[in-house]
Amino acid sequence: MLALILAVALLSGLAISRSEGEATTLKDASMSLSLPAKQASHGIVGWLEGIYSYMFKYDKLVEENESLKVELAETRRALREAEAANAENERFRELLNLRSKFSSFVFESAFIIDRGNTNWSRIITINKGEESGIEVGDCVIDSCYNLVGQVVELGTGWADVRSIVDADIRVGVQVGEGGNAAMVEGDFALMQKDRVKLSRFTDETQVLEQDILLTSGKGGLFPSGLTVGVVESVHTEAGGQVEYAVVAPGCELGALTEVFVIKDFSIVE
Amino acid sequence: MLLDLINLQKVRRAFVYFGFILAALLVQNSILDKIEILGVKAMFLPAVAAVIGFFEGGVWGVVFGLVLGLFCDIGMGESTVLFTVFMPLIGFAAGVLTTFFLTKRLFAFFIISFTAIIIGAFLQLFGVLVISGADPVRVLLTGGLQVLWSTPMIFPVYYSGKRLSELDLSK
Repeated sequence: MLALILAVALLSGLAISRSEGEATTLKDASMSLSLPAKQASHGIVGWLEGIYSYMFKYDKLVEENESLKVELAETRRALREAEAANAENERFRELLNLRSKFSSFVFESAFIIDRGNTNWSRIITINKGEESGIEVGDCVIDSCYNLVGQVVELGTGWADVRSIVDADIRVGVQVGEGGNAAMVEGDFALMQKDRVKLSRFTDETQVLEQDILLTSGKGGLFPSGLTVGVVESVHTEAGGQVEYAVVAPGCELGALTEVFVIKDFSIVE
Repeated sequence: MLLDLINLQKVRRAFVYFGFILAALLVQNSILDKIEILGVKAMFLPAVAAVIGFFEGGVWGVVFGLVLGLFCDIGMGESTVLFTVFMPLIGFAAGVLTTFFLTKRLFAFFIISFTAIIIGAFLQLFGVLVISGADPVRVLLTGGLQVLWSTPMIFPVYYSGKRLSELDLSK
């Protein structure tokens, strides 16, 4: 009997497991039925967390507000400098007759209504689906253009997003000042610490801690220039060659409530 | 007269078990989901599928296993119907075993639900191992810890199920 249970469940599970694309009718129907409950519970949890934050995190928020004011002042100064550099850049472009860099995104905002709660994957569910023009493979970002993940399955009124720390994620990135190509790959062990692995470097790639990783845009799935994360630690082989690096994602997955699906994009480098 | 056609006692019992399933899902998704020990969470829901079959028989085990499995797959957020298939099988197996071979004692339930939890973990890790090609040692360790953290939940599940099965719902 044990063998029978195992065999039937294994075969059925494997036949359908980790599939991507349009949801099965069964799943789509059950998701549609459970959506109101999920949205309601998400709203209640958010409201309770808001009260908790107000009651117990007030001092921390005041402190954070002060540091953000300092950061804002520094950012304004950097912006003034950047505006001057931008104007200069524009003049040089005109002199050299170059095309301007240009990027255009078509967004669809969505709320996270569920976070998959297993030890085996990091999938989040959002409250928009195929009726909003979202497609499998669309990339999902937060409000600061940090990559959150990629749509892997969808139905009416919902879409599953494979998050950036999931063991099955693969994203081409540019590393360091040279912009050398590498790959951010999900790793099962790192997934449990909400981290990903940077690997597949070219020989000339230099990876340093605190390097910011941006999407390379190669392959056409992800637009270039989105922040994937920051290199947290670099692991080298005995010969000094970089083996892999551990990357902390740019987005705060645990704190996210709203995300933006990039339905279409065009970029001129 | 129409009411005579309906077995109200069974309908009431069905509602009780449905509430039991919802409570178990709440514990799994709202409480155990927040508790990670060594980066691993417990997953005790196979024991819930087993307990209904264990006390009420294979048919009830299949029906409520299906409901539980469906909700479980939705809650997990994975693109699978793994538990929708697995939970009814567990419910059915628990029912058949207690009908023909086992006593309705704690030790027998422990063996059944512990096996169910192990199979559940194995089915989950199998996909990660085969399709994602993750480090087998880490995957097996995660599966082992999941089973270990889930095991204590067998006892409250057994006593809750036993209490529910003994409820007098005739009035």
